[in-house]
Amino acid sequence: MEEGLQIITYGDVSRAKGLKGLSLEDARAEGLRLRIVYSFQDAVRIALRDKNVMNIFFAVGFDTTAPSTAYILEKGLPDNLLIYSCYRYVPPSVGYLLLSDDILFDGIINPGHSSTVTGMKPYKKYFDYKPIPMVFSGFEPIDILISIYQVLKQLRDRSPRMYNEYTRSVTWEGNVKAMKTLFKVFNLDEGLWRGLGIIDDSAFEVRDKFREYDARFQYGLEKPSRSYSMPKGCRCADIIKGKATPTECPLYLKACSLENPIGPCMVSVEGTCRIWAEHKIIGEIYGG
Amino acid sequence: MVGKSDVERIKVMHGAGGTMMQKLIKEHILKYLSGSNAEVPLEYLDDSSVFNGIILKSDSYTVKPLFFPGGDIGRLAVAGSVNDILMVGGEPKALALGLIIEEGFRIDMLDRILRSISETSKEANVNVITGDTKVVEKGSIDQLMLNMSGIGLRHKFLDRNLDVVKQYYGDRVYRWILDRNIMPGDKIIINGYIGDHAIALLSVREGLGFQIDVVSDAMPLNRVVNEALRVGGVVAMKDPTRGGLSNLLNEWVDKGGYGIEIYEESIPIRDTVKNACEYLGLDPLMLGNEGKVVMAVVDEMAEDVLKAIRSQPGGENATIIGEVTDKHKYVVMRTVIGGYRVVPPPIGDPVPRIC
Repeated sequence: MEEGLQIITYGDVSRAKGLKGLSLEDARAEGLRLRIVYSFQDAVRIALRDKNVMNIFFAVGFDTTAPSTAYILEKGLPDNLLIYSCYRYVPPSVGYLLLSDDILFDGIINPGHSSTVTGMKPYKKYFDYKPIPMVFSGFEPIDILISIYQVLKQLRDRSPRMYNEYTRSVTWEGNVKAMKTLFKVFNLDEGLWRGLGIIDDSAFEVRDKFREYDARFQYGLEKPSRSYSMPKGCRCADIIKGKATPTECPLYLKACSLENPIGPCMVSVEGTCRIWAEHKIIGEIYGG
Repeated sequence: MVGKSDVERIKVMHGAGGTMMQKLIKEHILKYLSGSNAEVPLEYLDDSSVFNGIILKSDSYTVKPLFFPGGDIGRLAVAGSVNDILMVGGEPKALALGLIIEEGFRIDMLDRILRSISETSKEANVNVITGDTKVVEKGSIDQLMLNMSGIGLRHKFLDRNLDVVKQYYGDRVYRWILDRNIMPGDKIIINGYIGDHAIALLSVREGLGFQIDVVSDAMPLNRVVNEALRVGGVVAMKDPTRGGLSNLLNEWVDKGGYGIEIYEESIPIRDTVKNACEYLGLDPLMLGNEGKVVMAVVDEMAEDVLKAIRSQPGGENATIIGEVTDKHKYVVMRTVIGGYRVVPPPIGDPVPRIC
């Protein structure tokens, strides 16, 4: 059957640079068979059509995208389709920030779409450990403004709470059905987060019961997490924790720039350093 | 198979109209092919070039699928090449069509596309007067590719337009309408909704297929441009195709040496397109259009030009979306909540944010 491998993944994943500075798109130019899809369902469709290759779905994402993959996987996959799960569970990453003793931020705004699936409940233990304002927010500008207002108000009143700003989508329990399917197919394991390091119980691994679909098991691949180290001098971890600003990093706009990003905070379009660098001009000209 | 990458290779992004393509053009194509004595030479990287008073343009079309809501590859080819001639102040006069067809392609499909080319040419008041047909073995290309080249002559209203510009910028002499002409104070006008073409195409892309009430805006812009030039005051013109509005404005900043400020709330985007962008994780500013023109117009003439454009089909929803500034050399957007953000040029094709 096998005439080689074909990687199937999401568009934004195909462009993300790996640890060696290469993306899947780069690899495609070198001969990799790469297919871009919008959902795991499309990957199944491709596997059913491209029967003569082994298809690997490179699954990157969070609680938002993982359930639909789990739902399909639970029902069984074509013989020539495996999944390489890099899915991450968001609550432990927020927990990681709150549980570390050296944080310098005063409140936290939680992601609305992820929380729509997980619900607010998984965050309770972290809030109980460190009760600071915690707002679940939507993504529209007005949502963010209201959420900042809410954090400030709670700080002023000295009454930190778990507050749901995004009531049109987020509930306390979340999407119970999605979560159930998610944990039926995956179990949690330690996961690597660029810039933060290893976080316990933050990675979705395919359960043994479904290991016939697990590329990592089928090909005997190690998880790469332990071998990862941050670029020398990079202060991304501190920046993410609010302990340092980008300008306090020795690499910022020197070795590490928009054109030649080194740290994850500069590599990612949503990274703090990238945003600072891109918008530097705003502060200078518009007094932001 | 995969691994060593000591050899540099072409990637899809190199052809996507973003910074990767700019780099390829500057570091490779211009390295070997620049240095002509054309009045508007290759190295200006404008929409068309000018030699001896003749405007020359070549463009190839590889759109997938060949037929989409609101158009097809034939309509796209005529509109695309005609518009690029119009953008520098030319009046399209004749087209040359190159057909590259995959073995096995259905002739009735070819007929449909040729009919579309004929109809769109009439709309643009131009004819295909020469061409070439090649058939390649099955699998060499995907169905059909077109090249549409064209020539134009100095637009009948170009000098009138430039006379009006001269009244305000007397010390600067313009012969053509070029990206590099932008001046602080110029108002930025667009003739209608952005993103329609890209979203209409995505809606019929394999593997996506969603129902949406949006059709491609592909159309030749002769009438909109005619009216604008008749009124006068147009300094620069460009169609926001690949790379969309963000690429266009960044190119102007790059070539003109001034900054541009745009106002988020005034950029015309249909609600359906906006929703589709949110759902698909795309930035509407980076989506390609095929029937849009962005103009930089002398401040004092902007309202008159706007009024003239609005009277024409394809210009009904024209509006002022920003202005050129000497405060900085960036594209900066004032957001709906009153903040400012830098609008970077796209790197390559917009990729949906999913993960």
